[in-house]
Amino acid sequence: MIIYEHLSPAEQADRFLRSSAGRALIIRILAANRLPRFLADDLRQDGLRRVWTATVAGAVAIDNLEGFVATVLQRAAIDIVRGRVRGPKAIDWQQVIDLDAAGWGPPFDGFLPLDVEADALAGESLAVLRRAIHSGLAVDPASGAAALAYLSVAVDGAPVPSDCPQPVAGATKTEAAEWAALWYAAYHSCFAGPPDRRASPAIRKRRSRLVRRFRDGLVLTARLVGLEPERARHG
Amino acid sequence: MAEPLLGHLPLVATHVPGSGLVSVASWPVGPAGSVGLDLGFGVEIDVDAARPSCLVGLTIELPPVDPPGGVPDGLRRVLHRLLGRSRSDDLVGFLGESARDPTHATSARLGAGVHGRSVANGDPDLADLPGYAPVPGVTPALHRAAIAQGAACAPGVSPLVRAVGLLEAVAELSVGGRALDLAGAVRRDLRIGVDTLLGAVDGGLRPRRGGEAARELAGLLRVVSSLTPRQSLVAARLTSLARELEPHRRNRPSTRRPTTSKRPLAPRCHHDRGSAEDASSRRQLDRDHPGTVDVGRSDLLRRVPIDVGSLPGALAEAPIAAYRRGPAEVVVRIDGWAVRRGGLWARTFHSGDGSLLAVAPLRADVGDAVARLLVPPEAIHRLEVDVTDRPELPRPSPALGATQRAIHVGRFAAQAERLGDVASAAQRWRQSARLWSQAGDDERAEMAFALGDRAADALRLSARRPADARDGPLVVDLVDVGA
Repeated sequence: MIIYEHLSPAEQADRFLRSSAGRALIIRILAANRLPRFLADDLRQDGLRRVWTATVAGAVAIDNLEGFVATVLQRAAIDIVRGRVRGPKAIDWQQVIDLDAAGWGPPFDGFLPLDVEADALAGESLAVLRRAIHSGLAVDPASGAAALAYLSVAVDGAPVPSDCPQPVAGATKTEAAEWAALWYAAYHSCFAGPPDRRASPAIRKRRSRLVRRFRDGLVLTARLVGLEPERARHG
Repeated sequence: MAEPLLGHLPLVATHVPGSGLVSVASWPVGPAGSVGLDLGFGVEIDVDAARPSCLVGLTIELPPVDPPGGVPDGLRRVLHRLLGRSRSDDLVGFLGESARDPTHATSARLGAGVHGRSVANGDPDLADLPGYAPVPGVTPALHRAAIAQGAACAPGVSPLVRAVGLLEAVAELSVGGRALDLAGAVRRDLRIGVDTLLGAVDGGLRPRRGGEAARELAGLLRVVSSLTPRQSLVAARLTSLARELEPHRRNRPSTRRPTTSKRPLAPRCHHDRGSAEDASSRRQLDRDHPGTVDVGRSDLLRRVPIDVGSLPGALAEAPIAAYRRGPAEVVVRIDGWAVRRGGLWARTFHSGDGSLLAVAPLRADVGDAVARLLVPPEAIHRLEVDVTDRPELPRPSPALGATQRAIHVGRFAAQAERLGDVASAAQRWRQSARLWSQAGDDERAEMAFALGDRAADALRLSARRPADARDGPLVVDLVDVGA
């Protein structure tokens, strides 16, 4: 029985899967699907990712975590046996996703916690944040791609190539990083095209929506991994 | 009484406590893995990708019902049609018991009464199931639909293959799956398949006119057209396309289940690839086109390693290259894959700690698929790249990578068998066997070697396919290889 009630579901699942009962469950599910035991770590990692995605991004309420972990592990094992080829439901989802729709999760107004000096997010925190974004790619891969590009510019100081659209003079560094993030996430339709063309109001509106979408996702992820916005702001 | 749609193989049901999921195991899955088919009401079946009449198992997700232990009528009906009365009654009884007492792991053999027992110390007893050999089992409509759908959903296929696979599954299920309530799924896949097909055709993708693929696709389109509302624009377009593909066979009904003539297996999706002339003009366009990414000879010095061990499906054989471009950018290019890039993502990882640094979708760049990724400058010399249709997944271990590749190569072997190309089948099975050995799964390695030997025997006897391989090609197989 899982007793770590002060932990998040994903952390509880992690502890359970490292326990002897959890390891036995993994071995049992591998055996039931006729998979070799040395895939245990892959199965555990995939299971944890699914728990994280379901509980955080999917907002699934879990009554019995152990049972839920067993379900996701069984699904993950079937996925391996199928060569990780998804069914048409997933393809359908991929096709119908509206990249212009409002971001998922609650909106976060006012500030972006990652307008920071590099050292505020250096080292482990940044690695943890990137890992969390990786897990969230199941929900919204395009926004995750933008968030990672944003971190490379805003935190790691990656120079933006000259062929990437840049905001007009006077724009903040944050805006420049946001533009680069959208460009590298392949949201090219929210830029005007040749540099001498001004963006139409529709394009500007689209760009603004997409920025908000990936920013909301990034802020939510940062909070979930314990990064407090206040700590990260300029002093 | 109607025959059960899944045949009469022995089944063992297993319930993991608290999971709400019941697995029903039948046949040990072979070296090409399984393909799944969602039959609604929380029921999915898996058939063996190499011997699709063999049922691998069912997965049943129990819906929350009040009182616990109840089994909805829709689920009962599906199980009855799939398994027959005796086994479905046993399974329904088992489902009820599992839901009422979710604390104990149990398993039960179906067909001879339910005898639950603890499986806490191991997997269900499947030891007396027969070995890996074909037996009559899953009805053709279901297993052909599963294989067609699996082909459609594989990573790195062109929109034409994706559309034809979905529509072929729809055609099979709309006829052979009538006993099941699949209207919702069929409508969904019909819509996706038609949209994708018309988009692909409008984009210039279509089989060679007069070829076998075109003939069979024309027949399939006539069947699919009959499933859409009469006199609708879609029906008219599908019929018109069928006429274009096969102008001399206007209104004859499809007579599928062909046997193919022996021929060499064409390069996969050769209709998607540009010719040498195209490549030359593409390079010129690369230089002239302002939106393209110019990758010159000097980029050979700036190559970023590709993690080939984790590339799924056809991507394992794709001409992928990655280069550093500037102090913080990586360009990933797959030559000639512009039309097959749908749903694919390039990822860069830190080669030290393995963390994901950047991910980007592949975009069309003239005939190629290209992704540009921005990475932290300090990591630019410590990167590895992969390409995937599942960007959220962690990088697989070497064993899992080999397992995935063994499964995908096994699928190509099975497809070659269906197409009657026993030489290619023999080669692919042996390649799959080597990959299973690398993965450490000796049992499946032996299975794959045995299948390779059988294909080689068929080659020596000048047979079109191994003696026990009954299935002819699917339309999606013919379109995939450009027959």
